[in-house]
Order: sequence, then structure tokens, then C-alpha cells
Amino acid sequence: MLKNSLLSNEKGKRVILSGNEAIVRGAIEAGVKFATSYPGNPCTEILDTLISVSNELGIYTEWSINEMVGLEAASAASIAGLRSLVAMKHVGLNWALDPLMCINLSGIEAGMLVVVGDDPQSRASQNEEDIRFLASMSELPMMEPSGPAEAKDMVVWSIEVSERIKLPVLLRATQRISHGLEDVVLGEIVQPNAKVEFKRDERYLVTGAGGRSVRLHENLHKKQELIESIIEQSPFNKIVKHGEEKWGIISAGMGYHIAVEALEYCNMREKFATFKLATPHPLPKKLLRNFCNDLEAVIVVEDVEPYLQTNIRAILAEEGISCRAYGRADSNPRAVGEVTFDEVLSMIKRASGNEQLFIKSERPHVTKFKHMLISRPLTMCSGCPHRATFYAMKRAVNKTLKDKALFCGDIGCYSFASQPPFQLIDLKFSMGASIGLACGFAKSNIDNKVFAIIGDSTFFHAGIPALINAVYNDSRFIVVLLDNLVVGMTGQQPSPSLGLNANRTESVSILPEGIARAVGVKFVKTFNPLNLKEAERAFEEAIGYQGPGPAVLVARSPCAVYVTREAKIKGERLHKYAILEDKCTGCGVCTQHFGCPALVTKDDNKVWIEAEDCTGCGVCAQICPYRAIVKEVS
Amino acid sequence: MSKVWNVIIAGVGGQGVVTIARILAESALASGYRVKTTDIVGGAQRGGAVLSHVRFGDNVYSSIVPNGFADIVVGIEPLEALRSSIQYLREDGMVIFNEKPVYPLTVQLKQQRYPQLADIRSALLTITKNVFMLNASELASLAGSRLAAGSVLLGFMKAVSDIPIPKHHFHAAMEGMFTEKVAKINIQAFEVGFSKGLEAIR
Ligand SMILES: Cc1ncc(C[n+]2csc(CCOP(=O)(O)OP(=O)(O)O)c2C)c(N)n1
Repeated sequence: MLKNSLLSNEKGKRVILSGNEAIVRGAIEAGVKFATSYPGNPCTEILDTLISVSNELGIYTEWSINEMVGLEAASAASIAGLRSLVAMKHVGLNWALDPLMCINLSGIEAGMLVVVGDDPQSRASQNEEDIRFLASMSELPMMEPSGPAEAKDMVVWSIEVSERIKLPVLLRATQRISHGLEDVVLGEIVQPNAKVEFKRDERYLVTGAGGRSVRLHENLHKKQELIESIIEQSPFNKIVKHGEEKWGIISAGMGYHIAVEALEYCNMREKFATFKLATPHPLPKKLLRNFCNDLEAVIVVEDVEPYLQTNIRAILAEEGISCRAYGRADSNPRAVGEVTFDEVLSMIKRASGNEQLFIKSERPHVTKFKHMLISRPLTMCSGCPHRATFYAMKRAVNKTLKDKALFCGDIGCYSFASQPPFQLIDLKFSMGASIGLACGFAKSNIDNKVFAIIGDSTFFHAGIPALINAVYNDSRFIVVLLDNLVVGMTGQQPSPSLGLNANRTESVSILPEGIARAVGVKFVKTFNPLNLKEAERAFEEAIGYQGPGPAVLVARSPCAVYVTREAKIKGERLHKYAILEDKCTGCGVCTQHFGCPALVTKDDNKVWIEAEDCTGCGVCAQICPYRAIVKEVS
Repeated sequence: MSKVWNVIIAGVGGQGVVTIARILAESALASGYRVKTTDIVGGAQRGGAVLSHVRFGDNVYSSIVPNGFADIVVGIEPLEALRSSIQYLREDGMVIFNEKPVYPLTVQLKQQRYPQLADIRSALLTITKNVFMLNASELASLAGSRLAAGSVLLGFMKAVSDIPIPKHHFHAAMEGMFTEKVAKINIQAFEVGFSKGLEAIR
């Protein structure tokens, strides 16, 4: 059904698409021929989806090694004449900011869209930030859709604008947009006749003597007038105003719909003019001026930072308009996270002076039953090889170092080891930080054995320079590299160690231990974590290693979800494990110290293996002191 | 403003919450409505809570159901049914939930206690009298796969509520989204849920 909708030539047809799928459909309609991405919530599904139709449409798709490389590759394609798209999560743009700050100077050729998935409320990210500031920093236009349907149309429009202004256009899609469904009207699929060639031009030599980059910067400033006039006329900014209103609401993204709904809810629709702002950068100054000119006050509804509010205030001050702009900047400390219906209601209350407004969530049972709502921390999946690695690691650490160990963690499924039963992560920052932090701790002569715990994809993305740093500066610590061959956290996309490309064509399998040896690591050892004895021994050896440089342990076993899915595709059966009732004493070693979700404690304290969850890794059978867990005979 | 239907689907990773929301969205579109949904997927497949909001009607504004606005909460897991009902269910709304718990790891590790089913039920009854509890997982297994528990609940919902979506649109949505074999199991599960629902209100 989805594939049909993406490929359909039925212009005008109404179909259900998620924001990510709608962005893909927009890219198809605009004739994008080159797409890159590095996975990350909330926009992983953009490339996932595009890959599923890339063969039919002749679109090159690539999982790039990181967002920086993905952005560079997509801009090269655009410079060569192909319409291109690169998708990344908000923190990905932090990585790609460096090349972006040159590509904005050089400009591009064919239309290029940079999709940035932002995550207000940080539902599946290491942090919350507000990516709109990077649009003003890079002086590139940024669009913000208020739903999937609009996102699709915006992609098409933005790619055309990008081609006209010869600059990439940014599209910010928050999690509410990317992961929401809406009925979307299909448009026409165009096929721009692209001629692939490189037209030599001085503007591509951004770094150069004689201040060329400053001249290019000046050119970028000169272009702003054109960009502003295009933005002023964009079809996506929408004003509803009758002239009698005293107040107004200005909002972008999902916040706009929340605001309108809140106005309807308290019968204030006629009292407030509304402005759906779809262009966070540059702001449409003229439209804003006209909108606010005869209003007493406007409420600015936005997620995370008061980016719009502070900019709008500056515009109003500059123009000498007396309209006040309320918003998040007014509270101290400033609000964080996503804007809510209740927050908008209280803003309406404040602006209109209507104290009667009832806020629904102030309900008695909200507090009355809170104690029953126990938390549901994320854990590693059933059969996850990371769990086995941590089990062996904990035993080795307890035997040799006790609490004299410090664990620098990283981003990936293995970061769940910060929780019980392992608690083997002390710090979690951004991609690749584990090894960099370990370098610093080790060189600070801290009295703990230092560990850096990192996954394969994270290592390829950001860990390699840090490892070279460790070798080069003789930093002594242990790198635990958990290689499950895929990017587990984001949905099992292939990682370079798997040896398959985005669309599952064969590639070279690049192994982290090969890289470690090549950069001069003296202690490198690979083991299979599903063999606990082998794993424990490897840890003991690495702990004993005195240098020079770091020790690198590679724990290699494929992601259990990946294994299960592959078996299903190939029609293979996984051999499960089961409990021998009479031998299980209910000692709890497997459930309390290992904690695989397939192991369930029954009322009599004995354990039961949930067959549908068991992936047959066999690690619990090695742990059981009573040999009560055995492979099922089929 | 014409009525907007607000449905919450709640469960944990791996239970198919997002898929059930999509089935509902596709069926609503086929019935002539405008549709918006939003998902909160903290960590699918890793025991995290998953929540989908589905809103449909002649004109839908935000995709987010405001607190206390949900007409129906469909819980594929009891604790998650309670969690989302407390936040979203309106006073005379309806909650339909699967009585099969998925225990958080912390319960296995004896650090937290999972509330008693009876307590979950009585807490829900303080919000609304329309509380339906059924063993959807078992009924789904009988229909062919325990993963079809969500479809059992959808069928039950169709029988006990006045949700304005004809049955055949649910079937068609499943046929469009799944392979033939999986669609058959889910339609079967939907029908089993539907008959249970009719029994419950007879
Ligand atoms: C700059 C950046 N890009 C993307 C992400 C999203 N993300 C979180 S973890 C992760 C990689 C996980 O892969 P790996 O290190 O192989 O560990 P696994 O989850 O497979 O155990 C990614 C891409 C991020 N947090 N930061």
C-alpha cells in the first residue's frame, strides 16, 4: 500500500502518509536523484523508505558514515547537477555544521534539501536543542511544516527555490510531524532533465588567500534580499484576520494547530487573529509588521526556545510597533520541551485577561493514581549480545578491579547498561565521546581503570579520530567495541562491518579491529560474547594490559533483532531454549544478574522462558548454576 | 465544529501500537474523514511505552489529543491503558484493554511492583464506567498469532462503541497493509474481538 502511494502517478489522490513518508513523496515528485542520510530519530525512516523505492525510480541512496559526509556528498551531487536530499537528526546538523558553513558560501547548482529532524522534549535523543538557531547562523532559508501534507508540498517548493537561489534549503521537521500520519494529496512527479557535469567556478574555492571567503560571505548577504522576497511570498505562511481582533497568535509547526484548537475550545477564535508561520528563517518581516501593526498583543507559541518571540520583538521594536509579544521568554526560568494545549490555554488566559478558562488536566485522578504508574525503562532486547558482553565484563571487573573502574559510555543500545542489573556506564554524552573522554581521564592519572564503551556504527561515525588520539598520545585505557553489525538503536540499518550497502548490495566488510591495528593499537582482541568463558577471559587479559596505548576488545555477534528478522525472511527456525522444571530452583541468577526479557519469574519463583521472545542465543544456559536451561529438541 | 473522534492506542514496544493506529487511520480515511495521528515511540522493541493518538473527523486541528479529551483508549497492555487513560480519557469515555501485562525489567528485578489488575480496573472505573477488560493476547493466539492482540481490541471497540467506521474498511486496511497471510490472521482476530464485544454489551 505504502509503496503504491509513493510510486503513484494519480495526481490528486488522497493517501495516508507519515511526515517522513510525505517528505519522501515530495522528494520523488521533485525529481530528487541522490539521497544520503545517517540514521537518527525522528527522521531515520526517510532514507529507510526511499531505499524501498530507489531501484524503481533510479535514485541513488546511501547510508553515509556520518552526517558531515552525508551533507558533503549530497552537495557534490547538487553541484554536479542532480537534485539531492540529505536527512539527519538535530544533533546531526551539529556535525554537518562545519561543511554547511562553507556550502552556504560556495552555493550549489541543482536543488538541494537538508531535512533536519528536531526532537523537542528529547523523546529519542541525547539532548534537546533548537535547531532553528543554526539556520540564522548559516544564513540559509529554513522551512517548517505544520503536518505531513504540508511537508510534502514544502519539499517540492523548497527544492525549486533552492535551485533558483543556488543555496541549500533547510527543512525542520519535529518529531510530531515526522512520526505523525495525515491524509496527503499526491502531486505530479517531475523528471528534471539533469546533465551531470562539473562547471568549474571560483565560488567553489571557498578557502583561499586574499579574503575570498569574506567576499563570498558578502555575496551571501547580498542574496538575502532575494531570499526574503521569496519567503514573503511563500504559499505556506498563512494569516487569518478580520480586522476587529485585538490580539493575535503566531505559531509554527504543530504549535499552530494546537493554538487554533485552543482558541476554538475557549470560543476565542473570533477574538484572535492567527498567523501560521512556516518560515523560521528568514522571518517574513513585512507580513509580521502588517499582522502586528494594529494588534495590542500577540502570543507566540513555539517549542523549546523563544526563537520566534525574541526575533519578532526585535522586528516590532525596529519598526516602532507597540504590539506586545508574549511567549516563553517571559517566564523565568524559561520553559523547556514541547508546547502543550494547556500552556497555550494559559497564554490565552493571560493575553485576554479571561480568568474563567478551565484547564482540563487539573483533574483529581491525575495525582490520585500516579503511584501506580511505575516506570518502564528501556532495556536491551531478548537475546541481545550486548547483554552477554556486559555480564562477562561485570564478572571480570568484580574479580579484578572491584569499584576501581570508570566507564565512559556512548550512544547506542549498549547505553542501557547504565541501568540495573549492570550499571556499567558512568557517563553518556554525544556520538564518539566515550573514547575522547577516556583519553582525558586516563591522562588525568585518575586512580580507576578507564573503559570506553562504544558500538560499531558510533565508532565509524565518530570514534576513529579519538582512537588515533589515544594511540598517538599513549593514553592507556580499554576500548570495548560492541560490534553487532548494524545500527541497532535506530532500526538495524547496515553498518560497515556487515558488508552490505543501504539497498543490501554486497560491499566490503570493514572491521573495527582492522582499523585499530592499522592505527597502531598493540592489544587487539576479538571475541564472541555469546561464549561467556571466552568473553570473560578477554576482559581479564585486557584489564591486565599495561600499554603502550589503549587496548581494544571487539565483541562481535549480530544484533538479535536483525538475526530474528533475517531468519524470518529466509524461513529459518531459531533453536529456542527451555527450562527443566524439576531442575530450576528459583535461585534467580538468570533473572536478577542477567535480566533477559525472555526469562520470566513465575509465582513459585521458578523461571519460564517465553518461547516467542527467545532468540536462541544460549547465554542463559551458560549462566544457570543448576544446568536447568537446555536447548529445545525440535 | 463537527465532532472530532479522539482515540488513543497504548502499549509497549513490539505490540504493534503504531500499526494499529495506522489501520485505524486508513479505515477512517476510507470512511471519508480527515485524519491526523502522532506517535510517541521511545524505544520500540526495548520494552518502552508506545503511544499513538488518532484523531479523525471533518476537520482536525492538532494531531495531539489534549489531556482529558480522548473518547476511547485502546490498551494493548494494562498498565499502559491506565497510564494513558489517566492523562487522556474524558470522564464518560471508554477504555478497552488487554489483561496480559508486559512486566518492566525493574519488576523482574524486584525493584518495582506491578499493580494488581483489579486495582488498575478500579482506578479506571473512577474515570469512567465504560471499562472493558479482555484477554486479547489469548484470543489473538487462537486466531493465529498473539501479535494480533491489537486487532482483537479494534474489533471489540467496533462492537461496543459508536465509532463511525464500517467494518469492511477495517478489513480493507488490513488487507492493504499486511501480506495475505498476516491480513487473514488479523481479520480473524478482529472478528473474534467483534463477537466478544457484542457478547459484552448484550
Ligand atoms: C550525531 C548523531 N547522529 C545520530 C544519532 C542517532 N543514534 C543514536 S545511537 C546511534 C548508533 C547506534 O549504533 P551502534 O553504535 O552500532 O550501537 P547499537 O545501537 O547497534 O548497539 C545513532 C545513529 C545520534 N545520537 N547522534
